[in-house]
Amino acid sequence: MFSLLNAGLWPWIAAASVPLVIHLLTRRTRRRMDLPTVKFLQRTLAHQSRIFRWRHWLLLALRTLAIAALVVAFLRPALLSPLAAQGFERSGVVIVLDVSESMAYSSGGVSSLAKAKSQALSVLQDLRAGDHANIVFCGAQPTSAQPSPTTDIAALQTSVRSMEATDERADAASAINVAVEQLGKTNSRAKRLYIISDFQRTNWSDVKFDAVPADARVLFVSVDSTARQNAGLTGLKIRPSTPCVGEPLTVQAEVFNSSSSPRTVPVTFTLSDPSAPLGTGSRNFSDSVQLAPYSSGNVSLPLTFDAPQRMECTATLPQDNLAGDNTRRLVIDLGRMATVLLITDEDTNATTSAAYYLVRALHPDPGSVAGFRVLPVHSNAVNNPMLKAADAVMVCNAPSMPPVQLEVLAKYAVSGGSLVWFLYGDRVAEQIKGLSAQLPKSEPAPLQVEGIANVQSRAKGFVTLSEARYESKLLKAFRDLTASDLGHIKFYKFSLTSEVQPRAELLLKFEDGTAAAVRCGEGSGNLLLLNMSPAPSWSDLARQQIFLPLMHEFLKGILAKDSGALEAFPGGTASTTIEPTSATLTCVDPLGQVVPVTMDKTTGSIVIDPARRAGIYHLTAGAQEVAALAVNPHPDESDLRSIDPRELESQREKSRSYLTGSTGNDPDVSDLDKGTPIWHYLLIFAIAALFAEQAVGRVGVRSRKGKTA
Amino acid sequence: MQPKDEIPSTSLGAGGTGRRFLQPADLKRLQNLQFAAKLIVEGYFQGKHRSPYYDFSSEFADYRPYTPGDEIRAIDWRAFARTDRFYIKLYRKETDMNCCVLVDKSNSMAFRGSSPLTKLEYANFLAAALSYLMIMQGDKTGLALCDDKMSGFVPAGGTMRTLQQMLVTLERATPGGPTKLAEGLRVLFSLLKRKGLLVVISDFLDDTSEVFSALSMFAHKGFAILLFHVLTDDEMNLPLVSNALFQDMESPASVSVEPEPIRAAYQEEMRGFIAEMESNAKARRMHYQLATTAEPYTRALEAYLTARARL
Repeated sequence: MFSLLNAGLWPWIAAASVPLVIHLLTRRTRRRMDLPTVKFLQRTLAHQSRIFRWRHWLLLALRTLAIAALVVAFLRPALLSPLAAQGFERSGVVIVLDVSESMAYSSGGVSSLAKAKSQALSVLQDLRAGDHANIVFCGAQPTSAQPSPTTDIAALQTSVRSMEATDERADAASAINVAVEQLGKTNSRAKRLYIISDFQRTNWSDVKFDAVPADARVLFVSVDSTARQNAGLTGLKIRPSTPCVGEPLTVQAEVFNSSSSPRTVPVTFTLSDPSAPLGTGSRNFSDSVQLAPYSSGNVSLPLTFDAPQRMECTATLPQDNLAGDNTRRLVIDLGRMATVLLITDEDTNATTSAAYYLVRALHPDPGSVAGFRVLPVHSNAVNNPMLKAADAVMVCNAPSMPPVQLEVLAKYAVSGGSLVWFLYGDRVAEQIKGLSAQLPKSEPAPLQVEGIANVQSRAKGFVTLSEARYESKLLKAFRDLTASDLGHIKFYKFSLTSEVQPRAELLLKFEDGTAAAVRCGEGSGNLLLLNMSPAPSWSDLARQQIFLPLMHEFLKGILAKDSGALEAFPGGTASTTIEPTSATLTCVDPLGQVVPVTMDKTTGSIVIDPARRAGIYHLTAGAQEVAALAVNPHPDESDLRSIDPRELESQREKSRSYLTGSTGNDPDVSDLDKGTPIWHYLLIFAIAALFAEQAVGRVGVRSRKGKTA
Repeated sequence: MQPKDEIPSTSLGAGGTGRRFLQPADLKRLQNLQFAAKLIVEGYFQGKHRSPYYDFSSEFADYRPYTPGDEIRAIDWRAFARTDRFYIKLYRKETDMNCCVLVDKSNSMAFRGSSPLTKLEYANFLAAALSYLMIMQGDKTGLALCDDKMSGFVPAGGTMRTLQQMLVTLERATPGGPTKLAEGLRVLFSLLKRKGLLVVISDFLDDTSEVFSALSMFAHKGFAILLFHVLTDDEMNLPLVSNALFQDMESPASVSVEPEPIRAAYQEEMRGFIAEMESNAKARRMHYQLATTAEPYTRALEAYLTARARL
């Protein structure tokens, strides 16, 4: 039931016999004295209370108990923890150690990671010979220190000591899964899972512990439960996402105040090119933003470039306790065209196909950098890196698209992508229905396709557009033109659609009332449904002069909301697209080290997986730099608010979780492992016994008349 | 240092004047009862007034200067004629008072405690002083010693020879036997044929009712009775020791006790005993005087003179 944390002092328990020894010595050395009045003494004693008669033994017992309790308190006894393995059974221990960027937070010269490492080492040190253990480092891609739990505790301790805080975000859910996998590899019945982290709310609030075996004990070890103050850059974007030479652009930095008090944060922008046209004529531009507690604000830098160039823009904040999020970088590539991934099953060289006309409309002059860079891809060949590298995705007549791709495209749109879908081709009704099912329930597709209308058999043989919403930024460019420019387009076929949902923006409408173009937001992305096709059998759109600007404005309109390709974060993949090249590609990370990179020779999509460090990755083909990629810390790492592990414990809905921490009143994790300390109760007991000894010494003496003296 | 609840030694009334006279410790050094008795008595009267124990009588004793308040008829006019000063003629007072001093010499009287004298030594000095004073006043004085029986008796006499016999008897007295004061008193009662003053010096650690029953016989016969209750500080307050086995001096009884926790209760017990003695004495019109061995004899002599004056 009990264990002694300081068993070395056990011999001192002999001190408890001191009162008895004193008592015996006193008996032996008692003076013998004559006294004529012994009968009065006897009479006095006869009048005393029963307590007084037992007073000697009571005092002796209390003194012995007081000293014994005091000595035992110094032995630091603890109630045996249910965590401890029974008897000679060996434990299987897995430690999830948070090594994310937020763990680099330093207060008083000690970082959160240093505290976490100390706790982890303490756990490892307390393991008994034969116990199996492993460490799971919780970053963007959690990994275990050893392939399987090992008895080589020294190797694990070395791994812990050498671990440094990464630039990555903590993928807590994946880390738990890895830890559960490691726990499954231990044969011990006494399984323990230690989770040592700062428990950032942004990383841990949605983590489920259902996968943790029911017989495993979970310990939540919070290393920084106090309020932490931080200001961090959580975003750096450029608008428009694919700027052109001579076009005004804006660099916008988002700053998050992760503190309980309002503050004014200065932001400094720095461009790598000294000739950059900053308003002040210098390379630096500073501005401040006032932020309420736990809120964000933006600082913008307007720029205009008069020549194609690629440069790095860096936004910085003053140094604070968390350095990682004080810098954010952006690559401004004025020579870069926005990449449109065209998913189609059509032959792009066949003049009867819609894809043929779309490719030429989006990039009419192959020798120039104007327009869009179109990457046609068959619906079977679409993969995630392609999507991540693309600024926008168009789907046009892809009947062989597997259903799983619908889920991928839905996620792409919801996570900030720009998706244009032509309601044209076989199975389009089925695909839109499938796409709608994959979108959030609150944001389904704005309409459904119910069939195809062929109006060639009618008297006029075609329909035209009758209504346009010129207030929309997608059609704003056509406001000054005569309405007949759009109304001249003849549509021979179009899809019959359901009612358009109120949340969607109806851009164009056929004369029979059918929706021709509908835009709506999906998550943080955009979805544009175009009920038309440039295929000659469907319309004469490809023959109209307005076809090219219409397609360009549609794409620019839905690209304007975002900065184009999805942001890359440390520990994840970073991707972009270049002109396919046969030259050897070399990628250099922010520390100047060469890192592996893969390129799709067909589409020119480049993937760095993983990009461990935050900073600029430079890609060179031969001696020429072909691209630069900015990898920035995940914005969630800047919000240092912690979740109380008790909430996580309650989510687990199992009673075998324990909480501890390195600060506050929480017990030390090592002590928790050994049991609940009870030394302070013994100290209180010893003091109480001494008070009782004093009380018994005073109480119980009665006067001759029976009153208490 | 005196304990807080200790019975105050000033209960004897010595007060600040205690050091004016010989202390018991000083008398111990003298070892001669006659000389000690003389010192006690003369030391007591020194400076009290200029006419100590003279009175008008048929036997001329001395002259003294006239002081206002003296009777005019007492002036010796012949002396005035010779010296031109007023003198009063003093005559030795005549008395027929018989006194008897009973000293308890039981084992319990051998207790010394932290005092310089045992209770018996103290009683002896007190008896000697009283005897000296009585004889010097012209009274006839006798002495009796008792423990569980009458072990010494000097018949009453008014001469220095009698005093000498009494002092020798006192000097030879050794403690022994249990206290049976009542028995001694009954024996003494049969020996005293004439009423007078009975002085009993004892610790009275006997059956109180028995003692007062015996004393009542003297009272009925017309004796004036003066009781000197001799105790030591240690008896009244318990010795200042942390732990002790207290052995009774007249019986095999013993008690092992830490005095400190029960000191107050014991003191109250002793105060009850003293109060009982005093109330019994008062009820029988006896003079009672507590005398601790650490105190001078002043109050004892005053008590005697008070009792003597009432006779």
